[in-house]
Amino acid sequence: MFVMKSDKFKFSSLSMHIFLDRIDTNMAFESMLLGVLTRGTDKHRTLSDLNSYLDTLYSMTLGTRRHSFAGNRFLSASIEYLDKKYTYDGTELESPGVEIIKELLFDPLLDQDGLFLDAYVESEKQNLINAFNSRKNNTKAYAASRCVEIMSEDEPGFQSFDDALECISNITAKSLTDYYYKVISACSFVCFYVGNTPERAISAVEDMMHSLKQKGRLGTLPHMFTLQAPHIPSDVTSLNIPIEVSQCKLSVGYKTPVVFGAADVTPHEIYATQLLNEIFGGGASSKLFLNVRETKGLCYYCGSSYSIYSGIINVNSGIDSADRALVEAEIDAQLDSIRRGDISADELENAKRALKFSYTQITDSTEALEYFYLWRTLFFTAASHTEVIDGIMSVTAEDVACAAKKIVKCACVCIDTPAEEGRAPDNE
Amino acid sequence: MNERKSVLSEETVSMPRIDESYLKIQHESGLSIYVHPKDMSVTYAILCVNFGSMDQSFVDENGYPCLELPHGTAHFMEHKIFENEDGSDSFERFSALGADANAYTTHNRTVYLFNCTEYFDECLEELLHFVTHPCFRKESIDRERDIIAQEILMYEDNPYSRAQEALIEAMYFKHPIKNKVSGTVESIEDITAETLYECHSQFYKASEMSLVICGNADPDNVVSIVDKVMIESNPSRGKRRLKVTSFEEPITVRCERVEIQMPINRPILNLGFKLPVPLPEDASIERDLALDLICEMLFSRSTELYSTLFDGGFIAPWFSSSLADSEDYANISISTETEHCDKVIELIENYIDQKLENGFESEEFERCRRVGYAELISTFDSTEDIAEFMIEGIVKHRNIYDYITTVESLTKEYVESVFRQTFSNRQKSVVIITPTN
Repeated sequence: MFVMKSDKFKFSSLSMHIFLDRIDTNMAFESMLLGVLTRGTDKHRTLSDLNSYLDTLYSMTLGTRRHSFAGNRFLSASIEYLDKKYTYDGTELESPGVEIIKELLFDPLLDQDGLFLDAYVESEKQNLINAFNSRKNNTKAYAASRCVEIMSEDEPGFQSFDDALECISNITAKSLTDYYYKVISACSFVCFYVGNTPERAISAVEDMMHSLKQKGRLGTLPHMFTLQAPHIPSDVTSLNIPIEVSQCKLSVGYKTPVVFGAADVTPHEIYATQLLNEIFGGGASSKLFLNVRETKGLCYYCGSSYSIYSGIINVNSGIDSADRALVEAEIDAQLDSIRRGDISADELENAKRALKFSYTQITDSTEALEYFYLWRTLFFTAASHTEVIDGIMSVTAEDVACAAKKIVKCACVCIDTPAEEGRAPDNE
Repeated sequence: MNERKSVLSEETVSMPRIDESYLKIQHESGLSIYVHPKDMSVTYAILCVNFGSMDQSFVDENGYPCLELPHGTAHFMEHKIFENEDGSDSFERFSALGADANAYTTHNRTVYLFNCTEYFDECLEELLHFVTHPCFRKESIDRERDIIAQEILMYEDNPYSRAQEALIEAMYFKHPIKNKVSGTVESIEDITAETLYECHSQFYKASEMSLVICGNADPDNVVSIVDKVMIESNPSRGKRRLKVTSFEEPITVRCERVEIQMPINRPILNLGFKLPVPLPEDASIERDLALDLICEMLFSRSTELYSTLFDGGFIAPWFSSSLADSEDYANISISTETEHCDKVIELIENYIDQKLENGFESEEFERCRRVGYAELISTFDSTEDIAEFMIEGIVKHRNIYDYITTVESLTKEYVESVFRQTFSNRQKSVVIITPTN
């Protein structure tokens, strides 16, 4: 259990992450399981029962999530709850909070045959199918999502949305219950707490672990996690998606082997790549914002993001159809300029300050603290956020140019109004 | 705080029970300043201007029409005001200071903000300076028009924002809330440098602005920076002269049902209830909180209604409701994805009628009161949330801590009386976004 004591917050957070290292798993089963578990527990048998109960605990938030880090997959449940000091009747919320996580993960609602309720399984199947299909409703997000999907195809454990849809439609109450028992059998898990009263949280978690040990449901986390380097494709995949839109949605994808925890990758290289992303398209002083939007007026938004876990750098923009080639060329040109070392002292300094700001503000959010410290400590390094800031400050323009040279263009997705005669054919 | 000539008055407002307090300062320039100390890494500052998208048609002191602005003017101003006389852009200056700056326009205000972890003094000076020292150039306005046109098109492609805009348009006849904040691609063609200068001199007066700072800031230091920018460089002073043209909005809705086709996979339903506007003497924190609780008791994921809709397979898991409540308009909108629009509308209407007839259960009232209370307290875990909440309070001339004490003392009887007043004669509009073939 990781504990961060902080008296900054009126709400504390506690999360439990189950490591899925001993089973065959995929997005479809993970999503289905979390969906069905949150429909009701043995004690709170419907969604409204469960939500009503959480409301009475001063609107305690109960969330579930899937996490995937280069081949390492986790299912997580977390709560956020009000500190006793601020409840108006002195209610202490740690014990009921830990109890509700335990109830959700280990005391699910099962029918007389020991299976998940068929009604919940079928309903969640439909909800997931609808949710996957509804991705297309938001074309801006859909373009980015498809681009990332294309670049992830060769990664371990990858499952496409189409494959997931097929898998979901074949899931039954029996197959999902079997999967659930594999997940919780001697599972290894880790807990993370941020708040003002760790003693009460630790005590509540110890009680839960004691109870789980008695049921033989506790394994141990591996001493060392293995993170796999990303696969970098040699060709650029281009995808035109025909949807009637007012504005063409363009998503350009790049990949770098510089990822968190990969062999031969140093923290310094990661910092340099983070700075590269800032200079390229990270914010209002980035090359993409200043050139594509401000100078050329080609779009309202054009920015990039970098995932330190997958090595994906994704550029997204909404543009006029007629400007597509121009914008794509401009995006590539801006990256090329960084590769050539065209980085001014101001650009580097601004990017460093932006990242310093991002890492400093981590301490203002329980969620950000958990995200930063838990996964870094588990996978890679125990460096604090201030040590990371120091590392970022030591990066030079040459380091950034070097990081840019490792980046390879892999995909380009464009959502646009269906092709007319004489235009390039659509391929989705 | 050290005595300063420029400070006309100051008042400390506190709520010891939740360990929070703030200082309210009335500055000589007319600017209202609020400093809310908070031991966080990020300091958040907001400069709020009482000029929003609804400010379009004006009359002079004698009541004669004197100014008609193109739709989207306030939003256009928000985009262009970051440009400085020397050709630099304040966004870049904030970046150079390691700060994150932004701005947004709503129906009744324009908000400029930054959050920073260092160089607070420089950032605050920059914020005050660029908002009070505009420089509008024709060529950059022409370029910005293209950028804003792309922003408008981006929202047009989003079925969820399109549904919400269409719902407001369907509910209102004359109220300027029905006009889009960003205007239209056509209306922004009429916005020129002259339009923006005229608006700035009329509406960007210090007395029409509030400055809210939450985080690590010394009030004395804040005042010295305000002195420097707002007195020494002498930006526009005095009171706003023009008044918004009055209009009579019927209590009925303009259109009961609108269907729009878009390339989506599943229909989106937005259901709106146009609610009666309270008389000025009835507007209060109690009433606002009562409406929040009513929404929670009717439409949250803990209600029987949600169970019926969700377990019955009628709606997607997400089912959201939002309340818009101002001095001259009030409405509730409900949004979800469903293939069963008419059934969902019927179930919602029946549920409201049943609650109107039978009242709320004591248990559900207490449960929702706890939710309302906890949500208010959670605001104080973020400098951004505190600052935004303070702006809400300032716009409505309220002390934010009063919301917390009031929600604790609300009674079920009072909430039910507000429920009957507002929902008995509710007027309904429906917008359905349906998939194209």
